[in-house]
Amino acid sequence: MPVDKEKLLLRVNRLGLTVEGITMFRDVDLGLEKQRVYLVTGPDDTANEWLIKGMAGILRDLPLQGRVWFDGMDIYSTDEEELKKIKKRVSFVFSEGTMISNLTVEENLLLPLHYHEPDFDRAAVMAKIVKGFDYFGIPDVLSLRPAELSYSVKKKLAFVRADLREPELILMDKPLFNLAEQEQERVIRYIEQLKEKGVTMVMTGHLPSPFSGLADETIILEHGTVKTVTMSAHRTGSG
Amino acid sequence: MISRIGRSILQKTGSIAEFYLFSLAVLGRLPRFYKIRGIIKTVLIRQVMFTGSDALVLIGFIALSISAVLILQVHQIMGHMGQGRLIYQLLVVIVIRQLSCLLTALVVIARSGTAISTELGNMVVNHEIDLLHSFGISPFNYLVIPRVAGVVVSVFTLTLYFNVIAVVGGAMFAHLAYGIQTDYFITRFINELTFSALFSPVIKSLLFGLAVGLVACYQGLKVSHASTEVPQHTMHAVVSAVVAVILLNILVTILNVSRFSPI
Repeated sequence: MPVDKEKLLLRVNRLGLTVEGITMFRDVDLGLEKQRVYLVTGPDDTANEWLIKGMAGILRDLPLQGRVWFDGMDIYSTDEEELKKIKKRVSFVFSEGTMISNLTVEENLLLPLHYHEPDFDRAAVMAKIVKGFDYFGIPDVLSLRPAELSYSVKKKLAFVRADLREPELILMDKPLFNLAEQEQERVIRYIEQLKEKGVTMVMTGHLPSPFSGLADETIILEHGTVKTVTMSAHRTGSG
Repeated sequence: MISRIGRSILQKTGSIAEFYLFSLAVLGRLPRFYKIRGIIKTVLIRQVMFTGSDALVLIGFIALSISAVLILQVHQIMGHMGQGRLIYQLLVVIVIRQLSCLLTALVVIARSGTAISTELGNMVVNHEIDLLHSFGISPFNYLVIPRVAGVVVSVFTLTLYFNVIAVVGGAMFAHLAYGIQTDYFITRFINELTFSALFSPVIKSLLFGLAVGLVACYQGLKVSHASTEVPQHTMHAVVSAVVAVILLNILVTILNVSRFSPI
């Protein structure tokens, strides 16, 4: 698919990763435009996960090849100040709702702010957190630690955290994983709202996917290479 | 068999080189630690509380015990020969210059070295390091530097505390057991102190703290995917830290002895 360079938000050039002799993906070239939704799919969940982590700038301790640019800035070859600016605009939702285990929920949610913007408006941020808790039906767990939470609560907290700094790009690994059907519906509506707000999103999932109709493009990763980038046709099945 | 030995040597050499580079990276950032953000200060304070503050009772108990046993043994052997003054010399040489630093470091290895290595290893396995990368937070700055700094501060402070308890506690024990006046004991002890005896535990405690902190963090972060690796790397951390501390102790002692005249 031809990419409008004016609208280019994330560019991936010859991205490749081999872990312990197994090639997850190689020579991946992608251009992701602003305000579009992308679905990354394929038979290998692990490869899909590694690919979007690579795109999010997370794979810093692995032998990743190629380059990733976010709005013209190289995610992997930039200094801490530039990286801070990039990470303010990019969020990632882990499939298990990963949290720092020795911090409370509140400390987990506020950690990026404490680290990058120590003078942030605490009242405004807490108001957003409360709003997120209300939307997802999360009980008052701010003082609890991750080990005391269920998987579904951790997953929903990951969505609250991802949108806290109102990023331009959110990458989600299996966004519906670990959620009951009713909770999945709420997440799908939430993602639709994010799309209406103009947030660019990349998510992994299997076809047919409830996001097929929502996604502007589907990226199929098969045997380590991107086989097809297609426009989505219809919405069915599970993510 | 030869190729196995060769591979093992190469692996060990590679590990040593990797640890050396890791240590250089940490040492390079430590002097700039005063610029740390508030959130990292919190990590540092928590580390000092766990490593230092929570170990005070144990260290105090060990210090008092060692001092009392030394006084008992020396008085038993030397007292009737009129060589009781050797108590003060041996207190300086054995407790202040050697045992305080070594025993403190061993306690810190057992408590904090294992805890740090296990904690960081579990963070790797649970993808918490990936989470930090997703936030743009350097795991080095957020996890490693404050832990190493916290262990250094704690070992230094605990060693000082050990020495104070050993001397004051020893004086009180000597008074109770042999009727030696406390102020006489302290005065005699101070008379035996040399610059070397004061300098040596300072240097050793700082070096030991560095060694323990670096080894524990390095081994914890070496875990790759399986939770079964966590106890293995923790065990490596303990063994490596003990060896490092003993080697550093020998090195500093030799340097001290060669530079300063013995007491």
